[in-house]
Amino acid sequence: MATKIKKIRRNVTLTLWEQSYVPEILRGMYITLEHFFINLWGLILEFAWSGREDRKIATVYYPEESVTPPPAYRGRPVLVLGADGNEKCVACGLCEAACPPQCISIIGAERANGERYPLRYTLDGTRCIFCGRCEEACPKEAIVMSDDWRNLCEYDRSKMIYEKADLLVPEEKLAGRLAFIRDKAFGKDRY
Amino acid sequence: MSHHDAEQAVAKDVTIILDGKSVTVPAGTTILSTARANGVDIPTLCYLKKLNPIGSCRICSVEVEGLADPIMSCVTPVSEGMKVTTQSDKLTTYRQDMLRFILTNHPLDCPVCERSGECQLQNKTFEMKVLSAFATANPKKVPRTDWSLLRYDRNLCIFCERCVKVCWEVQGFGALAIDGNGYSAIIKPTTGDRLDCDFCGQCLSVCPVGAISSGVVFSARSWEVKKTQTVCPHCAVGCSFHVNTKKEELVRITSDDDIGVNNGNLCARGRFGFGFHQSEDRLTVPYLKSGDAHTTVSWEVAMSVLAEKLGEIKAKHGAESIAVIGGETLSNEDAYILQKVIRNGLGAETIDNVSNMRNPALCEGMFDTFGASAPIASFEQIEKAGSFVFFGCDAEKENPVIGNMIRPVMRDKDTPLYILNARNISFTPKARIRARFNYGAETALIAGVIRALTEGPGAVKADAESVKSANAISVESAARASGVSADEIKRIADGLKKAGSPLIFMGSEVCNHPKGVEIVKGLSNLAAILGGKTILYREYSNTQGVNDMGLAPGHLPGYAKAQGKAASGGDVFARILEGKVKAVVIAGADPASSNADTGRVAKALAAAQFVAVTTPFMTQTAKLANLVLPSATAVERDGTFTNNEGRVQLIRKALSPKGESRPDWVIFRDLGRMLGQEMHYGNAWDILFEIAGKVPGYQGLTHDALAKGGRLVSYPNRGGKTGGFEFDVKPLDAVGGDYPVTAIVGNSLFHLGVFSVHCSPLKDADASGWVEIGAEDAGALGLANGDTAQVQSRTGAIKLKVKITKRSPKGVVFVMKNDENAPGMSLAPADGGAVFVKVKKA
Ligand code: SF4
Ligand code: SF4
Ligand code: SF4
Ligand code: SF4
Ligand code: SF4
Ligand code: FES
Repeated sequence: MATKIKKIRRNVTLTLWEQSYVPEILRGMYITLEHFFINLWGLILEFAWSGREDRKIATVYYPEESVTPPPAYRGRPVLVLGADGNEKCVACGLCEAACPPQCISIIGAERANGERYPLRYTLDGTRCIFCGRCEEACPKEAIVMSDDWRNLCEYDRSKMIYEKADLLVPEEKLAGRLAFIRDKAFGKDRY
Repeated sequence: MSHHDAEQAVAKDVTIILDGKSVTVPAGTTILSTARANGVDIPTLCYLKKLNPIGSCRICSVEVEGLADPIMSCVTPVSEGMKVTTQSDKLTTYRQDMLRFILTNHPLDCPVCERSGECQLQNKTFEMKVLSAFATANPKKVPRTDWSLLRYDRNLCIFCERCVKVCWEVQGFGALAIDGNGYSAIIKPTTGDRLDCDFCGQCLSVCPVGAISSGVVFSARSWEVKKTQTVCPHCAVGCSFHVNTKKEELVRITSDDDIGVNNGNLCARGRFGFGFHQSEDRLTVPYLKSGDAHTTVSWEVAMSVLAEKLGEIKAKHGAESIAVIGGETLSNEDAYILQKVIRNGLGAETIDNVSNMRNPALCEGMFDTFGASAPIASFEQIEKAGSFVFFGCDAEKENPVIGNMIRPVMRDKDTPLYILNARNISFTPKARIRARFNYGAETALIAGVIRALTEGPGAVKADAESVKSANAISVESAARASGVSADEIKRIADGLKKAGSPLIFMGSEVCNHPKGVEIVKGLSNLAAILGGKTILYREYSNTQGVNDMGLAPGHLPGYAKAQGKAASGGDVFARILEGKVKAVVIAGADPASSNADTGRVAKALAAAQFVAVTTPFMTQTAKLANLVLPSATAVERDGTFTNNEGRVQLIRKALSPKGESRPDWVIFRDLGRMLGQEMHYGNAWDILFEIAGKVPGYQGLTHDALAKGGRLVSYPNRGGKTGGFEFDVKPLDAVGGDYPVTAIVGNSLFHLGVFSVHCSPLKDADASGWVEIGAEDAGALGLANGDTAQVQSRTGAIKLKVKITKRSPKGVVFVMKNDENAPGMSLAPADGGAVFVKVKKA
């Protein structure tokens, strides 16, 4: 849905008009009430006849409705599963070192061909703060912040300790984020 | 100042201008050493203090007035009036350029490189702010080579040559060499396609980058590990190393240069023998035998069974019916508490340890003369010695790192080495004289050397007592008996005389020799005549300490005479078989595979009423025991070990004990409490405090003092003499009869005791269970390399793999001691006599 971006005057010195207080209070109340009525009408109209598309309100009616966050969104960190069926991670431990709440824990090992891989990769979802440092540190684009925000809560904390199998997501499903970090987030322009 | 500069230190001093300041150093000192001695830092990459300067990286370059180009400070000696600049813009650029040359060919593999985080190339690149290489030369990628316990990645190699030099200068092996040059250069084993070396890992430890990596895949990253400095649990050198743990996992062993008596060097056992600590085979709960099988029980039950059984047997049969055997890998604290509980709590005095049981005569002989259970001298003597003598010791294999202490001294001071052995053992650098004598004629040979020293023109003045016994034999008859020619004996004597103050090392051949005491006395005389010293190799990490702590018959801690009543006659097993001993407590030992005549040991253990064992593994002994208590290994407990030179060193806890296992001192403290003794010890340091207060020689030890490199025990010298002994010069009678071959039973480089067989890298390096036999004997028996041979003695027979070597002369074979299925000690007679065997194809 299209959102209009409003220019905001950010000066700190107040004009005489503003210093007189009452008009500004009234203006504030007007804005609040305006939103109240827009939402009220939107709600009634939606249920009465109009489709969801036309309504002017921003609220999403979860769980009937849901959003797909933009690629810049930092959801649950996941491990990228390459097309060859192996994780891209080489167990370098940089994400482990970069992670502020220290929620990653890796045991490295080697494949027969001499490549390193994580024998175990544990990410403690109860501690993750979704900062994206792991993704930034990773030299292999092997861990990325996915758009997954739905499966973050559990009734049992132990279910939030993700093992490698819980974390692996095929590369295709992460194409958007991978493109985003390559071009925008950690692209050449930023460094 | 490094070793190699030391010899030139006698020359006169030289004054140079270093960064505008005038400094004076002995002539021959390099610019780098001069700078470091004066607190000026020059960056280096290939330089290593323990090696001769290599001069391959040029990072250490400095400017010298009058020279157009910078020169390498690590290889250039100072000269009078030299004006040296160590920091300038020109130098910074020059050094950066040198580093860029190295980086040209270096791939950006840091994320997967084992050395990342402790890589000196990384560090230098960062320190010197080098942000880019010139260009990438993009040489051909060469696949990594597998060198068994090591791996070599040519792509990462910067050709600093440290590995080549350390393998030659320190390890004496010379297993590595640079092959080719430029882009095609590669480090190649000199042993053919496969690397077949000592696997000491010295090269691994000094490689500044990740070119040489461990064959045991490093599962962590260097910055994640916690390093706990402790002492090697294997042999008696007492090498210091760092146990690297990640969370509760031991991931590798490292050792920084300059730490410990070992100067950062380790042998294969030390560096790769750590798997046993966390092996799946470790016992984690106590076991009690009911019927024929062991069932698991709780510690409460196990401890009450232990206390009750011992109490019951004592009440019925008296304190003499209880015996204790201590292992030589117990810490001093374990041993002290064990003997205290047994002596004070049970009033028993039948206390022994494995090394003492193997050769009681030797140990007893030593108590009275040396005040310790062995002749002992500090490793500092190595620097001071006029010459080295290896007598009956396989210096490369037994206490390997002592060899690493000797080699740099030989390199720098050209100290002569003499090897006298019953087998053709080798050592690099080369010995002045290598003489092989007939097994059994050791004392005759010693007497011959003493005679040759003290008679004729240029005779050494010696005290009459030291020469007395030797006078019973002439040089010629010594030559006849020993098989070493009279001429050779004279040359040995001459050489020793010229060099003066020899340091004589005696190895396991002497320890296990029926005439061990006589040999030690003879060599002590020889040393005394020439103003030298003797060192007897000890086998395990705390062989010295358990003897010092009174885990020996008739001796309280510190070698005071014990008062209690001991069962008499024969060793513990003989007494069990006679029915005099009913219960035996075995702590941290496996006599059923390491004591002489293992068959008899097993019979005795089966005959005893009650056998309790503390052990980390289900050993042969444990299988025969009624009660098996899981004990913690050396990295799971605090305490102290006393090494070969009598140095008390700290062992530190790096991991929690596996499963429910407990340190031995905890087990015996609890036993003591159950027996009604006051045992206030809350931790190992409480015990150390008591030892430091009570045990002669150990007085005044504190944890903090020990943390700084340990401290030598001051042994009471009871006899007051170090030479002037009477000794028996008669050769051993050859009483082989049906058993014509003399077998020498000893340890291999990769295996020692019950621990090493649980370390897979060591098993890979040496599958264990072999017999070394000379080509002549093998030919006569129709044996080829790799065949299986049956080796039989009066006490037992085992099947072993044949290794044909030059090391074994005719009529002598070498049998490996530690193999679970074929224990070499099963061949040895219980009376400590020589081992005679017959060998046939199996
Ligand atoms: S997002 Fe941040 S907190 Fe979460 S795993 Fe990555 S680095 Fe750690
Ligand atoms: S930073 Fe990337 S490659 Fe390295 S361990 Fe983490 S996920 Fe694996
Ligand atoms: S393997 Fe290591 S120590 Fe040897 S030359 Fe190469 S970089 Fe140097
Ligand atoms: S492991 Fe030891 S003997 Fe083998 S190549 Fe390296 S330094 Fe030489
Ligand atoms: S020489 Fe002995 S103490 Fe040193 S590392 Fe080897 S086994 Fe351990
Ligand atoms: S340190 Fe001097 S050349 Fe490498």
